[in-house]
Amino acid sequence: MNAKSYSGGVLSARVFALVMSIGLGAGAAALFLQFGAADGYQMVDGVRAALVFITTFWLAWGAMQSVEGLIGMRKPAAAMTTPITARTAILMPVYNEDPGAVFARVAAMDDAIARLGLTEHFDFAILSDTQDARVGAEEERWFVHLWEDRQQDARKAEGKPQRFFYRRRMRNIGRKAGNIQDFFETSGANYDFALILDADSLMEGATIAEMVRRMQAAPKLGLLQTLPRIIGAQSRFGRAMQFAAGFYSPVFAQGQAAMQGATGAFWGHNALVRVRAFAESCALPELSGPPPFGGHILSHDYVEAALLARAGWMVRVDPDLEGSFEEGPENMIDFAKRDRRWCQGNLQHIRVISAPGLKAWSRFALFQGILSYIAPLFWMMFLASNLYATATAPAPDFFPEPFQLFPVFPSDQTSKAVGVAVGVFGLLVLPKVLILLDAALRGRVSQFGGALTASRGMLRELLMSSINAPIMLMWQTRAVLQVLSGRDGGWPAQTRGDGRLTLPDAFAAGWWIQLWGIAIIFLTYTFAANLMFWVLPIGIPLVLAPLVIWVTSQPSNGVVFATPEELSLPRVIADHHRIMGQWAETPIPFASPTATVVPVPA
Amino acid sequence: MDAHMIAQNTINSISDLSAYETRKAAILRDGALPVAPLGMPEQVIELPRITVLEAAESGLRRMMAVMVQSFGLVARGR
Repeated sequence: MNAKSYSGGVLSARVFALVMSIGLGAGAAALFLQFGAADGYQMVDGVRAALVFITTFWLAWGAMQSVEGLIGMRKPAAAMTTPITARTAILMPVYNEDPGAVFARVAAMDDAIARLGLTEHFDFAILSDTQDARVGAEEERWFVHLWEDRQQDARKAEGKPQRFFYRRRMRNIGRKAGNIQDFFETSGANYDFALILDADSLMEGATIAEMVRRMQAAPKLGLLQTLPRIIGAQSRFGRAMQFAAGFYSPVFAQGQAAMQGATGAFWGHNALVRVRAFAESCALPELSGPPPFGGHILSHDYVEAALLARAGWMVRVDPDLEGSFEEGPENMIDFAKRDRRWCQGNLQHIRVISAPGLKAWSRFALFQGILSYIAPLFWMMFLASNLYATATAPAPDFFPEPFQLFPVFPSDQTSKAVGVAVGVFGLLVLPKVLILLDAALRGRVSQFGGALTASRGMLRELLMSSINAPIMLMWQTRAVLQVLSGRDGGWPAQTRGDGRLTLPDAFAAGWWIQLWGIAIIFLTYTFAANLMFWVLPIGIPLVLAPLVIWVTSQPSNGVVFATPEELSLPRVIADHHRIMGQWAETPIPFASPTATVVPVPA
Repeated sequence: MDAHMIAQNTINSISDLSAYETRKAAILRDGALPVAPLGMPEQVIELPRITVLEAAESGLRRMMAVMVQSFGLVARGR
């Protein structure tokens, strides 16, 4: 594929998605305006139509990504076989994490690389930003454990350099972006590429090797992003998300990749960067002014992708790369906490979007990130404006003209509002149905337990996300309002574990949502009773919020929501479990410096 | 996390502890990041307001620049 046809395909993908989304948004707004203005046009009708346009456009934009993804879905490219000549550092940034689990991940990935006979091309660096001294001390202990387990003294005795490094910063300046930058500024010149991970990342050796080969083959490629699959979920909420990420995300990512082209995304981890490109383009400045809009750039990944593209480097998402894994939140509270961080980070991009020299698509990507958090505000405004419009609607005037003989009945435009509602629902559901059909036709459903199990998974996930969505909407709205009012949420460490909540925990997190639910239903009943049918699907989940939060955090182990990784455990994940078990059972004695390196079985 | 702290169980005397600490210090020294510095020039994201306005040639770009910069000023003032 030459560069011209590549950019031509990208352009047509962008135009298609944009035209369709604007068209659907405008169509929905026009229909809604006819409904709203049936009893005479008022200002609020215009506002409601504008809100319908924005929200429908946003939903359609997501749906178009899935359509483009389905059009562009193809079998993964054949693995490259070119020899690896580059040196790569595998970076594992950690921040107050469980060191045993983290260091076992490093060991599992090292085993995966060793099976390919590529150990001499890869080093591992654990980059700790841990601020808790007790956890920091444990990290040191576990590094000793890892060092012994990987027999680094034996390597040194053979005259080979060590392959495992550990560094802890006493002050986590610049958070993760600063942590990575510190590595490049200290050791970057030793490496051609760096694989940036998260503390919960796991990647197959073959995937890492393929990424290196792809980057070697494309000298202008600055960053190569994989689509990580969520693994290890145990709760109802976690497994639903894991299923959705495994079943739908590859299609959406394919659609995104088709539109982004060489101006792709960086999601902060499970991505390979060219060290020289990253070093020359990605040192982030501190934004002027205090947080939440000033200070260190929180959502650094989108900005780094934009800066790489600005410097002329390609940033590419390759969704066909499998064997890339991460963990996800296990309950709605942890999800909301993560969302609060991301919300502040994305809204901070308001300050970045005007940075000089950015590519237009990079600005658009930043805008999308901002809109994804502002969109819930539009839904809330739509709900409020409908309540207001219904409560203040003028009484029907059957005799608008003086001395009129026959009454004029107002035109009933309700069917148009129903049409808009059905259309909006369709935009939410249709992509999932299309992906299910596509998966059935291509045989991908077999990885998810077969067509019937995958269909049940889709229906259950649809039901769960419909119930969860209004609750998430409230959390997101609160997060946006907190950020806009200048409240800094900080960047707390991610919670890991089984995530099971008690009912009091759930109530403590959701009581205010419950109150809002009661208020919305009461106001609707009092002032706009004929809207009750439309409001209840939002109001009932809000009223039941603590119960929903609690129920969804409970363990799940049924066949529904089965994912390929659950049905057939990938080798690197099995190795991680094995190593964790071994390390828990048998402490490793100090190896003799003259011990020989035991090869890892293939 | 404490369940995983098996290494601690192997230390059963003061001398073992001392030997372990010495060994740990040596490993941490050997495992320190290699010194191979690479310069990372700080990127420009914010331009002074006057520069932005001068750079924005067309009316639309100028208007957008003013809006975005104005928001920046308000946000900075918080």
